[in-house]
Amino acid sequence: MMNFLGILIGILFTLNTQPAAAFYATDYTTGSTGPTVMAPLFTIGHNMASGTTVPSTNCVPADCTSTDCISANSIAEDYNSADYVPADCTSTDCISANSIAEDYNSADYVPAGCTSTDCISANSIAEDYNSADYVPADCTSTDCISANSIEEDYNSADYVPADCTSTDYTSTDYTQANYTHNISHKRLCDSTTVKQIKKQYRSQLEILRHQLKDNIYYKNSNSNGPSRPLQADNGNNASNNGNLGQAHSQDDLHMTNRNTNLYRTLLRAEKSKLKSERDSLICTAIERKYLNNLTNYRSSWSRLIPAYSKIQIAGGTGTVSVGPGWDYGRKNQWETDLLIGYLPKYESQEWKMTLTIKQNYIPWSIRIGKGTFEFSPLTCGIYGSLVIGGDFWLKEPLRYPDRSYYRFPTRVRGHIFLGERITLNIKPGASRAHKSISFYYEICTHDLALMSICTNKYLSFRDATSLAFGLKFQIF
Amino acid sequence: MICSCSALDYHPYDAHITGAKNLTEKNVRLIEEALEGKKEFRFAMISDTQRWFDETEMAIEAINARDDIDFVVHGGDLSDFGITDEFMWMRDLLCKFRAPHITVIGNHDCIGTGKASYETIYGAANYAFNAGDTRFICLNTNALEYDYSCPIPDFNFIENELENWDPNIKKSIFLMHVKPFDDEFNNNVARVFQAYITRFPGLQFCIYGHNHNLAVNEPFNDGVKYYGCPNIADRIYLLFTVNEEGYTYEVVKF
Repeated sequence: MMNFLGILIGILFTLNTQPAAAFYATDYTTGSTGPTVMAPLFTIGHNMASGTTVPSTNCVPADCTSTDCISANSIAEDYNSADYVPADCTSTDCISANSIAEDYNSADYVPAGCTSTDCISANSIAEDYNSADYVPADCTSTDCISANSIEEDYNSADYVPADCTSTDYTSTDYTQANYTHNISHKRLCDSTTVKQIKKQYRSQLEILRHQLKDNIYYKNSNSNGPSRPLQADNGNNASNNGNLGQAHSQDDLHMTNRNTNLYRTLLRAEKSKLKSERDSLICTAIERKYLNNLTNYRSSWSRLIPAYSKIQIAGGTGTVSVGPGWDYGRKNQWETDLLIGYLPKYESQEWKMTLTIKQNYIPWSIRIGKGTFEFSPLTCGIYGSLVIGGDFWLKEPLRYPDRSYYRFPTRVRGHIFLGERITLNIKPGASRAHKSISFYYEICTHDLALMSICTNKYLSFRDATSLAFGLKFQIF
Repeated sequence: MICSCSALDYHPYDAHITGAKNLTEKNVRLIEEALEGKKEFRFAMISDTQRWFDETEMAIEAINARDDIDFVVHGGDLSDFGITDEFMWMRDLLCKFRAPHITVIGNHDCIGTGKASYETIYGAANYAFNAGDTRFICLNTNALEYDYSCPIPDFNFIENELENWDPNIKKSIFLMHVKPFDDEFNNNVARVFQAYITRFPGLQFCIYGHNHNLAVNEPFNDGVKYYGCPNIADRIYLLFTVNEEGYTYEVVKF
């Protein structure tokens, strides 16, 4: 069907003065030619057997200078380098986005005005080069960084210009260390970079001064005479080696008032430009202090991350109690647990909850064998429990005379314990949650039980104490 | 032994009772059977044994050494703190009495989950039983430990006793932990209380504890005597003998 159309158009165009040529259908994607599918119905004034190639029926109008070219949008029109590319893309008027000579593909094509040979449009539309939209096709260029620091194919949501000053930047993936919601992510805050930028500013300022001086005092001579050759003060000939700021002789110094004012004005203007450039890159002192405070705040609170969790049966803290804990000390011999317990009602009328803070001291931890097991022959400590629910009080209710009838709180209890513990150190990689698991048992008692046994011989220490046991899951 | 459930203490007030329960019912049955048809009996009274286990043990030895005691009465305050272990300790000790024993609930026994522990080990706080031809009515009078949802004293119970009175029963004795006009009693109804109990046939006397004081008094000046048993630390038990002529009492030191 295409060949027929092509033939038809070709026939219409054979009114030109080109010599008649054997009629071939041309495959314009590969550039190859082949025999026709069907013979022409007629020719108009041309010898079809001349053997010469007629212009391709897909070709551009006669004023197109390239016979190899096709319209990018298949419409016959005046040649415009923005629209047309040579079929083999070797023309200097077009460049492939990935620098590979290939046939035209609108996703790759960039306008001739694009000055970067590596750039592709982020939105796949051929348009004038705008650094916010274009990134190197292979995205390894130092001109761009991925917001999540992963080299990947360009996706405008992930990439920002390296200096992060683009106002197009809105990526929420940005993970640079000092990124916060309040501080513009555009500004760099770490002290090394800030020092670098400040140093850069100073050297830029220095260069600026020299440049201005050269241009104003030394080069900006009055128009009354040619610039004289350089002469050294001692009368010897000196040559100007052409470097800026060097080998100027006193004669060339034109420090007139006009020059000085000009110098000062220009310096001030350029300096303020450099300064605002610098300041747009770095934090203000207060922003930096905020960030430092924020870092300290985070790291302080991070010390509250529990190192382990425990689950315990009995022990006066409920039938079962669980909770996090923190260990510290040079050998982690101190532990503090926070346990929440569940106490069924048993013979009473309601179930209750308990809250316990427990302080443990484990002075020795003896390695057994190769270190898979550790045994602690002594654990000891004290803990306080609070029962929530039920008919208890911290301070006696008002109905009791002087609120000191029974003279002890019923809601809170103090306990002490002694125990032992055995720990299994988990092989690294064998558990994704824990570093070690310990089993412990404890003999414990509480304040009221101790009071009950110390006023008589009938009860023994055995009556006052009870057994508890549990597991500790060490996370780090 | 180390693995028995009683070795685990879930909470001092867990109300987790192991061992003997419903002792009031069991003891009452023993008393009623033993004194069926009798017109004379003798009982001992101790009270407020809280934390005084040694003295209680001595009292038990002294009372067990006698062979003329039909039953023992405990005037309340078996525990000091109301913790579950105390009830079980005291229960196991009191069970060493050779004679049957009955108790009333004391104010210390109401602390925390104490009410539930007491009622599980012994039974209802208000109850009554027959000793021969005398009715023993045992009341919970610790009003300060309850709110109005639980009537203390329970006049319904008292009225009920009166309405269902067995005509064969000729005498009555009241046992309570706190007597009228003492701090735990609902003194607003002290006179109402007395009006009720004096309607009981053959009211002999009332016995109580709580004050840790040996006392005899007539709080209402109406001839009804209230006998107060001291706490066990005083090493005293009261001995009451009730017979057809009336009654006698003795203060026994041990």
